[in-house]
Amino acid sequence: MESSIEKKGDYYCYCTSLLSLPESILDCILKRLSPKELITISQVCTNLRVRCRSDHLWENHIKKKWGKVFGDVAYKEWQWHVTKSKEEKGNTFYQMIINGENDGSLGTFSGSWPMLCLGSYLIDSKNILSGQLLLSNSLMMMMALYISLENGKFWFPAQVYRELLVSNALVSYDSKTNTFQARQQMGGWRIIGNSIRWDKVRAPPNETSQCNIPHQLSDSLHHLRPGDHIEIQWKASTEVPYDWWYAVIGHLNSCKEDENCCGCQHSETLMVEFKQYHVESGMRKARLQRNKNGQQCENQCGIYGGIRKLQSEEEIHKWKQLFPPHHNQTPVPVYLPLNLRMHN
Amino acid sequence: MSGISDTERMITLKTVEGTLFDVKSSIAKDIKTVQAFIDDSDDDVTSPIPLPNVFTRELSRILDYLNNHHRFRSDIEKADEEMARYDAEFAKSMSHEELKALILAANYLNVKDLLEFLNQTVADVIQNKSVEFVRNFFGIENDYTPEEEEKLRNENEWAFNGVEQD
Repeated sequence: MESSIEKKGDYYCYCTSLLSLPESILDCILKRLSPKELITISQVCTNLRVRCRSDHLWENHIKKKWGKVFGDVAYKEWQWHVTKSKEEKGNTFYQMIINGENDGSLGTFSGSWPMLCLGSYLIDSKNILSGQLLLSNSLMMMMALYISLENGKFWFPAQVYRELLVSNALVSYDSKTNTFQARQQMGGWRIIGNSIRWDKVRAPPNETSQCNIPHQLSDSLHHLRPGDHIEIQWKASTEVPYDWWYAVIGHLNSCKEDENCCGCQHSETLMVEFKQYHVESGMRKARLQRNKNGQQCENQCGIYGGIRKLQSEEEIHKWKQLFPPHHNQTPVPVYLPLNLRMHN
Repeated sequence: MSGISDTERMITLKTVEGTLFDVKSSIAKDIKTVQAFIDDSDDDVTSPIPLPNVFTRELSRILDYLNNHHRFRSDIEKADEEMARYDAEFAKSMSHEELKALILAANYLNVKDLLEFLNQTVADVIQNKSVEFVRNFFGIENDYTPEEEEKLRNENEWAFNGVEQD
């Protein structure tokens, strides 16, 4: 610090350069800057470039802006792209070219033919990952990620609320409209939604798998009891991916629904109630078997996959907001591929 | 601070120039470097505490800030509002040079709240400013070659929408 203060005659002159400030202060100032400002400051000098690109600063910005939509699954995909670009892109299996443009865009696949599932897709990965941005150090991984998200170059796995269901999709952000676009890699690279608002996108809950495999429960179905709020996977046929539906565990028809003598929790049959449908609707209830953890069909009406118990009020509230205003009075639902679904 | 009374102990601080400041011990508590000095001396501080890195101009501002914040905090009702108004005035009244000098002093004296406030002030000053402005503001030499600079500029183009020219 002494070096920054010079005595000139009778008065003191403060020749303070930002770089002579203590580390902790500099860091504290940089933490308060927006991504755009960090980029600007990185052009001031080489020393600041290194600081402004450090992962911990960008990690904060990623959490702040993308935290609700960008989850662990997506982060793993990102790491894959980073590793891949370091390894040299020798393996053409991973080179996926969409729209015929060879811009070094990379996708990841999982599953086996014909149920291949695209895990993520990074447009222009050559520039983003092997150019100046990433160089050879991993320190800038977070900044590169932020920029790829902001520019819509990274199609990352997320879940999208659509009417009464939640679909797995790859989403990409459009900074001009501040919305998302969603696509599914099933029978083509299909757009399933445009101009999707932030509140209609969520990070896949950590334990769910992104692809077409029934979700494996961490808990067995035996823990579920009447009144539990759940999300359940359902699809109309084997060729399409699962979507998630909201439901509540109900009582068996034979049950008097009296708390003291209700045995529903111990029955092998699990009643799943879709309260978003009218009581008389054929879609209101499904009868599943507790011992079949995973895929099961009921009355040839589509395929049920895994169940995820909802733990937070926030999640339950979100689902309820999606219901049509008078859902309990409407006997015939208007949306849906679902009329295929049940003939009780 | 309800504990303040007429009989409260006073601590004397001495700046680089030799100016003496009398400070209430309740205020000195917020100046961690001073408090540490007091603690080390087993509370037996009789002579002025020398502050070899702090100038009169900065110390007087820092004490002004602390005194006012103590006063605001004693009046719970209006505390937030008045403090915000005071802080805004405080930030406005400083030149950039003064701001930087004050950060160094606040850092040396370890006055946490003030330091955070000053850091935020710096962040606000450089918000939306050009690279050139930031260089001047902080007295930093440009060590890029023109080619490197051009390259960086192209690479970061997306960040340049809406930069304030100065």
